[in-house]
Amino acid sequence: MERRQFLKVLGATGAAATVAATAGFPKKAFAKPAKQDIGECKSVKVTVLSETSWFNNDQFKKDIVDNGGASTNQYAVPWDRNNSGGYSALIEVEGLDGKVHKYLLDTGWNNAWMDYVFNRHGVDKMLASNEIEAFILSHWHLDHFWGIESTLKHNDKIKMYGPSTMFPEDEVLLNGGKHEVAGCKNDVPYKGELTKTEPDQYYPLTAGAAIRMFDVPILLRVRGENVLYFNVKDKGIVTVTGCCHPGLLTLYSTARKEIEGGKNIYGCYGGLHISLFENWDPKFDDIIKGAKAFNPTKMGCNHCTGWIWAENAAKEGLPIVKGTDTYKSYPKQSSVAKASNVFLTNGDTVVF
Amino acid sequence: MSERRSFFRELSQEAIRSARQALEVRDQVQEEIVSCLDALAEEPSELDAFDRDFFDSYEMSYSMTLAYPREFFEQAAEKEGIEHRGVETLELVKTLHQRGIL
Repeated sequence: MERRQFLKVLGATGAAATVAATAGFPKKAFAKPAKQDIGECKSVKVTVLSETSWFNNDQFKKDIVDNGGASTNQYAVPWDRNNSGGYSALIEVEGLDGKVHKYLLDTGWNNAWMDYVFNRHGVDKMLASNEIEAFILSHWHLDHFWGIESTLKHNDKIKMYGPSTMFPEDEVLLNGGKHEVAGCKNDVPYKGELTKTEPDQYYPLTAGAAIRMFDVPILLRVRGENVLYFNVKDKGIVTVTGCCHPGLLTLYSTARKEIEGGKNIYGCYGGLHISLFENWDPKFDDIIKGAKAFNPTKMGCNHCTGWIWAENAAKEGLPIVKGTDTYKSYPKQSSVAKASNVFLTNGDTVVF
Repeated sequence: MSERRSFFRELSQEAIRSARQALEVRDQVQEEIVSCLDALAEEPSELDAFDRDFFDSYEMSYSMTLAYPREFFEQAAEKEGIEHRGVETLELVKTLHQRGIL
Protein backbone atom coordinates (compact mmCIF):
# COMPACT_ATOMS: atom_id res chain seq x y z
CA MET A 1 0.00 0.00 0.00
CA GLU A 2 1.36 3.42 -0.91
CA ARG A 3 1.90 5.91 1.85
CA ARG A 4 -0.88 8.26 0.67
CA GLN A 5 -3.40 5.43 0.46
CA PHE A 6 -2.37 4.14 3.86
CA LEU A 7 -2.94 7.60 5.35
CA LYS A 8 -6.40 7.75 3.80
CA VAL A 9 -7.42 4.42 5.25
CA LEU A 10 -6.03 5.27 8.63
CA GLY A 11 -7.72 8.68 8.62
CA ALA A 12 -11.08 7.26 7.59
CA THR A 13 -10.93 4.69 10.35
CA GLY A 14 -10.30 7.39 12.93
CA ALA A 15 -13.10 9.53 11.55
CA ALA A 16 -15.53 6.64 11.57
CA ALA A 17 -14.75 6.06 15.20
CA THR A 18 -15.39 9.74 15.91
CA VAL A 19 -18.75 9.69 14.08
CA ALA A 20 -19.79 6.51 15.84
CA ALA A 21 -19.07 8.12 19.15
CA THR A 22 -21.13 11.24 18.46
CA ALA A 23 -23.91 10.05 16.18
CA GLY A 24 -26.43 9.79 18.97
CA PHE A 25 -26.02 13.43 19.96
CA PRO A 26 -27.02 15.75 17.14
CA LYS A 27 -25.54 19.18 17.58
CA LYS A 28 -28.36 21.07 15.94
CA ALA A 29 -32.05 20.78 15.42
CA PHE A 30 -32.72 19.46 11.94
CA ALA A 31 -35.39 21.11 9.91
CA LYS A 32 -37.93 19.35 7.67
CA PRO A 33 -37.13 19.25 3.96
CA ALA A 34 -36.67 22.77 2.78
CA LYS A 35 -39.91 24.43 1.71
CA GLN A 36 -39.81 27.38 -0.62
CA ASP A 37 -39.25 30.48 1.45
CA ILE A 38 -40.63 33.22 -0.80
CA GLY A 39 -40.36 35.82 1.95
CA GLU A 40 -43.12 38.19 2.98
CA CYS A 41 -44.68 41.33 1.61
CA LYS A 42 -46.91 43.89 3.26
CA SER A 43 -49.75 43.88 0.74
CA VAL A 44 -50.77 43.01 -2.79
CA LYS A 45 -53.06 45.21 -4.83
CA VAL A 46 -54.59 43.95 -8.07
CA THR A 47 -56.21 46.25 -10.60
CA VAL A 48 -58.46 44.57 -13.12
CA LEU A 49 -57.32 46.14 -16.37
CA SER A 50 -59.51 43.81 -18.40
CA GLU A 51 -61.13 40.50 -17.58
CA THR A 52 -63.39 40.42 -20.62
CA SER A 53 -61.36 38.18 -22.90
CA TRP A 54 -64.33 37.96 -25.21
CA PHE A 55 -67.70 39.65 -24.98
CA ASN A 56 -70.03 36.98 -26.24
CA ASN A 57 -69.69 33.46 -24.85
CA ASP A 58 -71.88 31.87 -27.52
CA GLN A 59 -69.76 33.27 -30.34
CA PHE A 60 -66.54 32.13 -28.67
CA LYS A 61 -67.94 28.64 -28.22
CA LYS A 62 -69.17 28.58 -31.82
CA ASP A 63 -65.72 29.51 -33.12
CA ILE A 64 -64.27 26.48 -31.32
CA VAL A 65 -66.98 24.04 -32.35
CA ASP A 66 -66.93 25.21 -35.99
CA ASN A 67 -63.21 24.61 -36.16
CA GLY A 68 -62.78 21.18 -34.67
CA GLY A 69 -63.31 21.35 -30.92
CA ALA A 70 -60.92 20.80 -28.05
CA SER A 71 -57.83 19.73 -29.94
CA THR A 72 -57.86 22.56 -32.46
CA ASN A 73 -54.76 24.71 -32.78
CA GLN A 74 -55.74 28.22 -31.65
CA TYR A 75 -53.75 29.70 -34.55
CA ALA A 76 -55.87 27.78 -37.08
CA VAL A 77 -59.20 29.29 -36.00
CA PRO A 78 -60.61 32.34 -37.84
CA TRP A 79 -61.85 33.95 -34.65
CA ASP A 80 -64.59 36.55 -34.76
CA ARG A 81 -62.44 39.65 -34.41
CA ASN A 82 -65.28 41.78 -33.08
CA ASN A 83 -65.62 39.42 -30.15
CA SER A 84 -62.06 39.71 -28.84
CA GLY A 85 -61.05 41.72 -25.76
CA GLY A 86 -58.39 40.41 -23.43
CA TYR A 87 -57.26 39.53 -19.95
CA SER A 88 -54.72 41.62 -18.08
CA ALA A 89 -54.06 42.79 -14.53
CA LEU A 90 -51.74 45.27 -12.86
CA ILE A 91 -50.17 43.91 -9.68
CA GLU A 92 -48.61 46.15 -7.05
CA VAL A 93 -46.65 44.43 -4.32
CA GLU A 94 -45.80 46.55 -1.30
CA GLY A 95 -42.68 45.32 0.45
CA LEU A 96 -42.17 45.38 4.21
CA ASP A 97 -39.93 48.41 3.59
CA GLY A 98 -42.83 50.27 1.96
CA LYS A 99 -41.40 50.08 -1.55
CA VAL A 100 -43.96 49.19 -4.22
CA HIS A 101 -43.08 46.79 -7.05
CA LYS A 102 -45.32 46.73 -10.13
CA TYR A 103 -45.91 43.79 -12.47
CA LEU A 104 -48.10 43.26 -15.50
CA LEU A 105 -49.92 39.94 -15.67
CA ASP A 106 -50.92 39.04 -19.25
CA THR A 107 -51.45 41.37 -22.16
CA GLY A 108 -54.89 40.54 -23.55
CA TRP A 109 -55.96 39.65 -27.08
CA ASN A 110 -57.30 42.49 -29.24
CA ASN A 111 -54.69 45.24 -29.67
CA ALA A 112 -57.20 48.08 -30.04
CA TRP A 113 -58.96 46.99 -26.85
CA MET A 114 -55.70 46.56 -24.94
CA ASP A 115 -54.38 49.93 -26.15
CA TYR A 116 -57.55 51.54 -24.78
CA VAL A 117 -57.26 49.65 -21.48
CA PHE A 118 -53.56 50.41 -20.98
CA ASN A 119 -54.12 54.07 -21.77
CA ARG A 120 -57.11 54.30 -19.43
CA HIS A 121 -55.06 52.96 -16.51
CA GLY A 122 -51.77 54.66 -17.35
CA VAL A 123 -50.12 51.28 -17.92
CA ASP A 124 -48.66 52.56 -21.20
CA LYS A 125 -46.72 55.24 -19.32
CA MET A 126 -45.73 52.80 -16.56
CA LEU A 127 -44.30 50.47 -19.20
CA ALA A 128 -42.44 53.23 -21.00
CA SER A 129 -40.85 54.51 -17.79
CA ASN A 130 -39.83 51.02 -16.63
CA GLU A 131 -42.08 51.48 -13.62
CA ILE A 132 -43.43 48.01 -14.34
CA GLU A 133 -40.60 45.66 -13.44
CA ALA A 134 -41.69 42.58 -15.36
CA PHE A 135 -44.34 41.16 -17.62
CA ILE A 136 -45.62 37.78 -16.50
CA LEU A 137 -47.47 35.70 -19.01
CA SER A 138 -49.73 33.18 -17.32
CA HIS A 139 -50.07 30.98 -20.41
CA TRP A 140 -49.96 31.14 -24.16
CA HIS A 141 -53.70 31.32 -24.84
CA LEU A 142 -54.91 33.90 -27.35
CA ASP A 143 -56.79 36.07 -24.85
CA HIS A 144 -53.74 36.41 -22.58
CA PHE A 145 -50.92 36.67 -25.11
CA TRP A 146 -52.01 37.82 -28.55
CA GLY A 147 -52.21 41.46 -27.45
CA ILE A 148 -48.44 41.39 -26.90
CA GLU A 149 -47.89 44.33 -29.26
CA SER A 150 -49.85 46.58 -26.88
CA THR A 151 -47.18 45.94 -24.24
CA LEU A 152 -44.08 45.85 -26.42
CA LYS A 153 -44.91 49.12 -28.23
CA HIS A 154 -44.21 50.86 -24.91
CA ASN A 155 -41.32 48.70 -23.75
CA ASP A 156 -39.86 46.06 -26.06
CA LYS A 157 -37.15 45.12 -23.55
CA ILE A 158 -39.32 44.47 -20.51
CA LYS A 159 -38.29 41.41 -18.52
CA MET A 160 -40.73 38.62 -19.31
CA TYR A 161 -41.69 35.29 -17.78
CA GLY A 162 -43.55 32.76 -19.91
CA PRO A 163 -44.12 29.02 -19.61
CA SER A 164 -41.38 26.98 -21.33
CA THR A 165 -44.16 24.98 -22.99
CA MET A 166 -44.50 27.54 -25.79
CA PHE A 167 -45.01 26.50 -29.41
CA PRO A 168 -43.24 27.84 -32.54
CA GLU A 169 -46.29 29.94 -33.45
CA ASP A 170 -46.04 31.70 -30.09
CA GLU A 171 -42.40 32.42 -30.76
CA VAL A 172 -43.23 33.85 -34.18
CA LEU A 173 -45.75 36.27 -32.70
CA LEU A 174 -43.44 37.28 -29.86
CA ASN A 175 -40.63 37.97 -32.31
CA GLY A 176 -42.68 40.30 -34.47
CA GLY A 177 -44.73 38.03 -36.74
CA LYS A 178 -48.36 37.49 -37.60
CA HIS A 179 -50.90 34.70 -38.11
CA GLU A 180 -53.40 35.75 -40.72
CA VAL A 181 -56.06 33.05 -40.29
CA ALA A 182 -56.29 33.70 -36.57
CA GLY A 183 -56.05 37.43 -37.08
CA CYS A 184 -53.21 38.28 -34.74
CA LYS A 185 -50.04 40.26 -35.33
CA ASN A 186 -47.20 41.91 -33.54
CA ASP A 187 -45.18 44.64 -35.25
CA VAL A 188 -42.78 45.10 -32.33
CA PRO A 189 -40.31 42.21 -31.93
CA TYR A 190 -39.43 41.39 -28.36
CA LYS A 191 -35.86 42.34 -27.49
CA GLY A 192 -35.81 41.65 -23.78
CA GLU A 193 -34.91 38.75 -21.54
CA LEU A 194 -37.49 35.95 -21.59
CA THR A 195 -37.36 33.56 -18.67
CA LYS A 196 -38.96 30.33 -19.80
CA THR A 197 -40.43 28.95 -16.62
CA GLU A 198 -40.02 25.23 -16.05
CA PRO A 199 -42.61 22.98 -14.42
CA ASP A 200 -42.72 22.87 -10.62
CA GLN A 201 -40.00 25.52 -10.30
CA TYR A 202 -40.26 28.76 -8.34
CA TYR A 203 -39.10 32.09 -9.72
CA PRO A 204 -38.86 34.83 -7.08
CA LEU A 205 -39.97 38.31 -8.14
CA THR A 206 -39.51 40.26 -4.93
CA ALA A 207 -39.83 39.46 -1.23
CA GLY A 208 -43.15 37.70 -0.75
CA ALA A 209 -43.80 37.08 -4.44
CA ALA A 210 -42.89 34.20 -6.72
CA ILE A 211 -44.02 32.49 -9.91
CA ARG A 212 -44.59 28.74 -10.07
CA MET A 213 -45.28 26.92 -13.32
CA PHE A 214 -47.75 24.03 -13.46
CA ASP A 215 -47.46 21.80 -16.52
CA VAL A 216 -51.14 21.00 -17.02
CA PRO A 217 -53.11 20.21 -20.18
CA ILE A 218 -55.09 23.12 -21.62
CA LEU A 219 -57.42 23.37 -24.58
CA LEU A 220 -56.60 24.62 -28.10
CA ARG A 221 -53.10 23.08 -28.04
CA VAL A 222 -51.73 25.07 -25.13
CA ARG A 223 -49.95 23.60 -22.12
CA GLY A 224 -48.73 24.90 -18.78
CA GLU A 225 -49.65 27.91 -16.66
CA ASN A 226 -47.65 30.29 -14.51
CA VAL A 227 -49.26 31.03 -11.16
CA LEU A 228 -48.29 33.91 -8.88
CA TYR A 229 -47.92 33.14 -5.20
CA PHE A 230 -47.76 35.91 -2.61
CA ASN A 231 -47.08 35.59 1.09
CA VAL A 232 -48.70 38.57 2.78
CA LYS A 233 -47.42 39.22 6.30
CA ASP A 234 -49.95 38.42 9.03
CA LYS A 235 -52.47 37.31 6.39
CA GLY A 236 -51.15 34.36 4.42
CA ILE A 237 -50.90 33.00 0.92
CA VAL A 238 -52.62 34.69 -2.00
CA THR A 239 -52.71 33.19 -5.49
CA VAL A 240 -53.09 35.33 -8.59
CA THR A 241 -53.94 33.55 -11.82
CA GLY A 242 -54.76 34.13 -15.42
CA CYS A 243 -57.08 31.18 -15.83
CA CYS A 244 -56.15 28.80 -12.99
CA HIS A 245 -56.00 25.81 -15.34
CA PRO A 246 -54.19 23.74 -12.68
CA GLY A 247 -57.28 24.10 -10.47
CA LEU A 248 -57.74 26.20 -7.33
CA LEU A 249 -57.61 23.22 -4.97
CA THR A 250 -54.32 22.13 -6.51
CA LEU A 251 -52.92 25.63 -6.10
CA TYR A 252 -53.85 25.78 -2.43
CA SER A 253 -52.70 22.22 -1.82
CA THR A 254 -49.36 22.98 -3.48
CA ALA A 255 -48.90 26.04 -1.26
CA ARG A 256 -49.48 23.91 1.86
CA LYS A 257 -46.98 21.34 0.69
CA GLU A 258 -44.26 23.46 -0.83
CA ILE A 259 -44.27 27.02 0.53
CA GLU A 260 -43.07 28.20 3.92
CA GLY A 261 -46.20 29.43 5.70
CA GLY A 262 -48.32 27.89 2.95
CA LYS A 263 -50.78 26.29 5.34
CA ASN A 264 -52.34 29.66 5.92
CA ILE A 265 -54.39 30.37 2.81
CA TYR A 266 -55.63 33.95 2.61
CA GLY A 267 -57.19 34.26 -0.80
CA CYS A 268 -57.03 34.41 -4.56
CA TYR A 269 -57.54 36.66 -7.53
CA GLY A 270 -58.19 35.82 -11.15
CA GLY A 271 -59.96 33.49 -13.47
CA LEU A 272 -60.74 30.17 -11.79
CA HIS A 273 -61.80 28.31 -14.93
CA ILE A 274 -64.90 26.61 -13.57
CA SER A 275 -68.16 27.34 -15.35
CA LEU A 276 -66.86 29.61 -18.09
CA PHE A 277 -69.77 28.86 -20.42
CA GLU A 278 -72.20 29.45 -17.56
CA ASN A 279 -73.17 25.79 -17.40
CA TRP A 280 -73.87 24.12 -14.08
CA ASP A 281 -72.77 20.66 -13.05
CA PRO A 282 -73.57 19.34 -9.54
CA LYS A 283 -69.88 18.48 -9.23
CA PHE A 284 -69.18 22.22 -9.05
CA ASP A 285 -70.58 22.06 -5.53
CA ASP A 286 -67.55 19.93 -4.66
CA ILE A 287 -65.25 22.72 -5.79
CA ILE A 288 -67.10 25.08 -3.46
CA LYS A 289 -66.78 22.60 -0.58
CA GLY A 290 -63.13 22.03 -1.42
CA ALA A 291 -62.37 25.75 -1.46
CA LYS A 292 -64.18 26.19 1.86
CA ALA A 293 -61.99 23.51 3.43
CA PHE A 294 -58.97 25.79 2.93
CA ASN A 295 -60.79 28.56 4.80
CA PRO A 296 -59.83 31.51 2.58
CA THR A 297 -60.58 35.06 3.71
CA LYS A 298 -60.88 36.91 0.42
CA MET A 299 -61.62 35.58 -3.05
CA GLY A 300 -61.61 37.86 -6.05
CA CYS A 301 -62.67 36.10 -9.22
CA ASN A 302 -63.65 36.90 -12.78
CA HIS A 303 -63.01 35.97 -16.42
CA CYS A 304 -63.35 32.19 -16.85
CA THR A 305 -64.70 31.55 -13.34
CA GLY A 306 -68.31 31.69 -14.46
CA TRP A 307 -70.82 34.08 -12.91
CA ILE A 308 -73.02 31.15 -11.97
CA TRP A 309 -70.27 29.48 -9.94
CA ALA A 310 -69.30 32.75 -8.24
CA GLU A 311 -72.93 33.42 -7.31
CA ASN A 312 -73.39 29.94 -5.88
CA ALA A 313 -70.05 30.11 -4.07
CA ALA A 314 -71.06 33.40 -2.45
CA LYS A 315 -74.42 31.91 -1.44
CA GLU A 316 -72.60 28.96 0.14
CA GLY A 317 -70.47 31.29 2.23
CA LEU A 318 -67.22 31.62 0.30
CA PRO A 319 -65.81 35.15 0.76
CA ILE A 320 -66.33 36.34 -2.80
CA VAL A 321 -65.30 39.99 -3.15
CA LYS A 322 -67.95 41.97 -4.94
CA GLY A 323 -67.12 44.25 -7.84
CA THR A 324 -68.55 47.60 -8.83
CA ASP A 325 -70.32 48.99 -11.88
CA THR A 326 -67.13 50.62 -13.16
CA TYR A 327 -67.08 48.13 -16.06
CA LYS A 328 -70.14 49.83 -17.49
CA SER A 329 -67.99 52.84 -18.35
CA TYR A 330 -65.85 50.70 -20.67
CA PRO A 331 -66.82 50.78 -24.37
CA LYS A 332 -67.93 47.10 -24.33
CA GLN A 333 -69.27 44.75 -21.70
CA SER A 334 -69.59 41.00 -21.34
CA SER A 335 -72.95 39.59 -22.34
CA VAL A 336 -73.05 37.50 -19.16
CA ALA A 337 -72.36 40.28 -16.62
CA LYS A 338 -75.00 40.36 -13.91
CA ALA A 339 -76.25 42.76 -11.28
CA SER A 340 -75.02 40.43 -8.55
CA ASN A 341 -71.50 41.87 -9.09
CA VAL A 342 -69.83 38.66 -7.93
CA PHE A 343 -67.04 39.33 -10.40
CA LEU A 344 -64.29 41.86 -9.96
CA THR A 345 -64.79 43.40 -13.34
CA ASN A 346 -62.95 45.87 -15.55
CA GLY A 347 -61.61 48.79 -13.54
CA ASP A 348 -62.12 47.17 -10.11
CA THR A 349 -59.36 46.70 -7.57
CA VAL A 350 -58.75 44.35 -4.68
CA VAL A 351 -56.15 44.57 -1.94
CA PHE A 352 -54.81 41.59 -0.01
CA MET B 1 13.19 12.98 12.22
CA SER B 2 11.65 15.61 9.97
CA GLU B 3 10.24 12.89 7.67
CA ARG B 4 8.55 11.30 10.66
CA ARG B 5 7.01 14.63 11.71
CA SER B 6 5.75 15.19 8.19
CA PHE B 7 4.21 11.72 8.16
CA PHE B 8 2.24 12.42 11.34
CA ARG B 9 1.18 15.88 10.16
CA GLU B 10 -0.19 14.45 6.92
CA LEU B 11 -1.84 11.64 8.83
CA SER B 12 -3.66 14.04 11.12
CA GLN B 13 -4.71 16.30 8.21
CA GLU B 14 -6.10 13.33 6.31
CA ALA B 15 -7.96 12.18 9.41
CA ILE B 16 -9.52 15.61 9.83
CA ARG B 17 -10.61 15.73 6.17
CA SER B 18 -12.13 12.27 6.37
CA ALA B 19 -13.87 13.04 9.63
CA ARG B 20 -15.36 16.18 8.11
CA GLN B 21 -16.65 14.25 5.10
CA ALA B 22 -18.08 11.55 7.31
CA LEU B 23 -19.85 14.12 9.47
CA GLU B 24 -21.36 15.72 6.39
CA VAL B 25 -22.71 12.36 5.26
CA ARG B 26 -24.03 11.73 8.75
CA ASP B 27 -25.79 15.12 8.72
CA GLN B 28 -27.43 14.34 5.39
CA VAL B 29 -28.60 10.93 6.56
CA GLN B 30 -29.86 12.40 9.79
CA GLU B 31 -31.76 15.14 7.95
CA GLU B 32 -33.44 12.55 5.75
CA ILE B 33 -34.44 10.44 8.75
CA VAL B 34 -35.76 13.43 10.67
CA SER B 35 -37.78 14.67 7.70
CA CYS B 36 -39.31 11.21 7.22
CA LEU B 37 -40.18 11.04 10.91
CA ASP B 38 -41.64 14.55 10.80
CA ALA B 39 -43.76 13.60 7.82
CA LEU B 40 -44.99 10.49 9.63
CA ALA B 41 -45.67 12.42 12.83
CA GLU B 42 -47.63 15.15 11.06
CA GLU B 43 -51.34 15.02 11.76
CA PRO B 44 -53.28 13.90 8.71
CA SER B 45 -55.48 16.66 7.37
CA GLU B 46 -58.66 16.56 5.36
CA LEU B 47 -56.81 18.85 2.99
CA ASP B 48 -54.41 16.03 2.09
CA ALA B 49 -57.25 14.75 -0.10
CA PHE B 50 -56.43 17.53 -2.54
CA ASP B 51 -52.80 16.48 -2.93
CA ARG B 52 -53.50 14.32 -5.98
CA ASP B 53 -52.79 14.09 -9.68
CA PHE B 54 -54.70 16.07 -12.26
CA PHE B 55 -56.77 13.23 -13.70
CA ASP B 56 -57.44 11.51 -10.37
CA SER B 57 -60.84 13.15 -9.97
CA TYR B 58 -63.17 15.84 -11.24
CA GLU B 59 -62.15 18.04 -8.32
CA MET B 60 -58.57 18.02 -9.58
CA SER B 61 -59.34 18.24 -13.30
CA TYR B 62 -62.48 20.37 -13.34
CA SER B 63 -60.75 23.12 -15.33
CA MET B 64 -60.71 20.67 -18.25
CA THR B 65 -63.32 18.03 -17.59
CA LEU B 66 -66.17 20.21 -16.33
CA ALA B 67 -65.42 23.69 -17.59
CA TYR B 68 -65.98 22.92 -21.26
CA PRO B 69 -68.98 21.47 -23.05
CA ARG B 70 -68.53 17.72 -23.55
CA GLU B 71 -69.07 18.17 -27.28
CA PHE B 72 -65.59 19.80 -27.53
CA PHE B 73 -64.03 16.51 -26.44
CA GLU B 74 -66.38 14.34 -28.47
CA GLN B 75 -65.36 16.28 -31.56
CA ALA B 76 -61.69 15.74 -30.79
CA ALA B 77 -62.29 12.03 -30.13
CA GLU B 78 -64.21 11.56 -33.38
CA LYS B 79 -61.41 13.17 -35.37
CA GLU B 80 -59.04 10.57 -33.92
CA GLY B 81 -61.44 7.62 -34.19
CA ILE B 82 -61.79 7.27 -30.43
CA GLU B 83 -65.09 5.88 -29.13
CA HIS B 84 -66.70 8.32 -26.73
CA ARG B 85 -70.25 7.01 -26.34
CA GLY B 86 -70.83 5.80 -22.81
CA VAL B 87 -67.38 6.98 -21.71
CA GLU B 88 -67.19 9.17 -18.60
CA THR B 89 -65.94 12.67 -19.45
CA LEU B 90 -63.03 12.28 -17.02
CA GLU B 91 -61.92 9.10 -18.78
CA LEU B 92 -62.45 10.58 -22.23
CA VAL B 93 -60.35 13.67 -21.51
CA LYS B 94 -57.70 11.56 -19.82
CA THR B 95 -57.50 9.33 -22.91
CA LEU B 96 -57.23 12.34 -25.22
CA HIS B 97 -54.45 13.72 -23.07
CA GLN B 98 -52.58 10.42 -22.83
CA ARG B 99 -52.66 10.07 -26.61
CA GLY B 100 -51.21 13.54 -27.02
CA ILE B 101 -54.36 14.91 -28.64
CA LEU B 102 -54.87 17.54 -25.93
